[in-house]
Amino acid sequence: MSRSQLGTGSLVVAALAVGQALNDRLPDSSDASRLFERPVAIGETVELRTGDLTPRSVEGATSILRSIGSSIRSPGLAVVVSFDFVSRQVSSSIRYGELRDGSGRVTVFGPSGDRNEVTCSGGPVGIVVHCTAVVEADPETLPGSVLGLAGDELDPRFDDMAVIDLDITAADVRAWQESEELEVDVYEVAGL
Amino acid sequence: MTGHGVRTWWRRERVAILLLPVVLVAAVAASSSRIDTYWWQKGFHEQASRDATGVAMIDDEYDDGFLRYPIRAKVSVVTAQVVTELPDADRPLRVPAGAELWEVKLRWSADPDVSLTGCKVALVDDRERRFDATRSSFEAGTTVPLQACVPDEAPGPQPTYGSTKAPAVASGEVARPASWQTRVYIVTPEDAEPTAVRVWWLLPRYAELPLD
Repeated sequence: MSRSQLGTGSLVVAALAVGQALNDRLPDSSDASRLFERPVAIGETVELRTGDLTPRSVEGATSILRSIGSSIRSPGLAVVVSFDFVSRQVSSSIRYGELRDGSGRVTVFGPSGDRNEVTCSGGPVGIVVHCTAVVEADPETLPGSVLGLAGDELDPRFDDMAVIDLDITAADVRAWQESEELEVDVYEVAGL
Repeated sequence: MTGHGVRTWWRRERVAILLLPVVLVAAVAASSSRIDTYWWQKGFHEQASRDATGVAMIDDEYDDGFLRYPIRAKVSVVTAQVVTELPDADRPLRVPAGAELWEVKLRWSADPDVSLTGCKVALVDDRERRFDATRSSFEAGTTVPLQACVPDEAPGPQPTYGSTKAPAVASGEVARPASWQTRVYIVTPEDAEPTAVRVWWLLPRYAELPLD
């Protein structure tokens, strides 16, 4: 084997080693494409890529009646998170929700579920719209839950997600289990 | 490697070295389809020309691989102003909190045989915000025109999606005139200062009509 051939072979081996090292150290695609999580507490405002989101309240009940007429009677609890959203550059929606409960389970839902549903269609840019997310859960798992809200339910990758600390206590859960039917204003443009 | 050896190597590899930039350009071009699909076709990138009087000439085409027809029209702005009531309103105007309603009047001309179904109209402001015309953004009763770009009473040829049949005027409807005006209503925040009206059918083509 000539010196030239030996050098070429060494370069190929070195290139393969560098490639393998890079592959081991770079995040895999699911990790690299994860959402950018923006923590926010009730009453605070978080800036997402498409607009500003402000969680307003967290309520729960075994039975809810939506303003559009449909109702849910749950063997567990239906949690209702009310929030405001203001589109920034173009009319944008919040169509992706995920409840991460206290036991580590994740319930993903979108804008058109039978029971779990986030309702926040794009309002006029710069105008407040009142939105809701409704999700059923096992009452025992609710303390310690957080709710994630993002724009696109089909492909939320790479985008911002508001992560709301729901601050639900065991006392809240007990009170909700004994509460009356909860009436929910699903969605409205502020002032209309 | 000696100086003679280096010169020999450059001489032997000169064709390959000269071809390297060509190969690089070819490699970038070969992987550029996503730029077209996910960026160029999704944004406002091909603005229609305007003449000295502010009339934009829209020349677009609907093509879903099955149905294909041209979209050609001339459009200009007649007026754009904030309004507090609508003509012949059958109920009081209500706009969202912190908002106002703009009335944009557009003048159109087009061949009556051309389908102009599905256009969109928006205002854009100096902060590059886009305010789309959406009838659900305010309440004003039944006097708000349904169509933004064609007369409600004579919208002209309508396409039949899923069919290769050319767009045709619905039975019982009259042909669209050669020129007409439309009224479009757009909600903006009170602090918005619109700088142009934007009209489009299929991106990336659009018309931008500056406001005085």
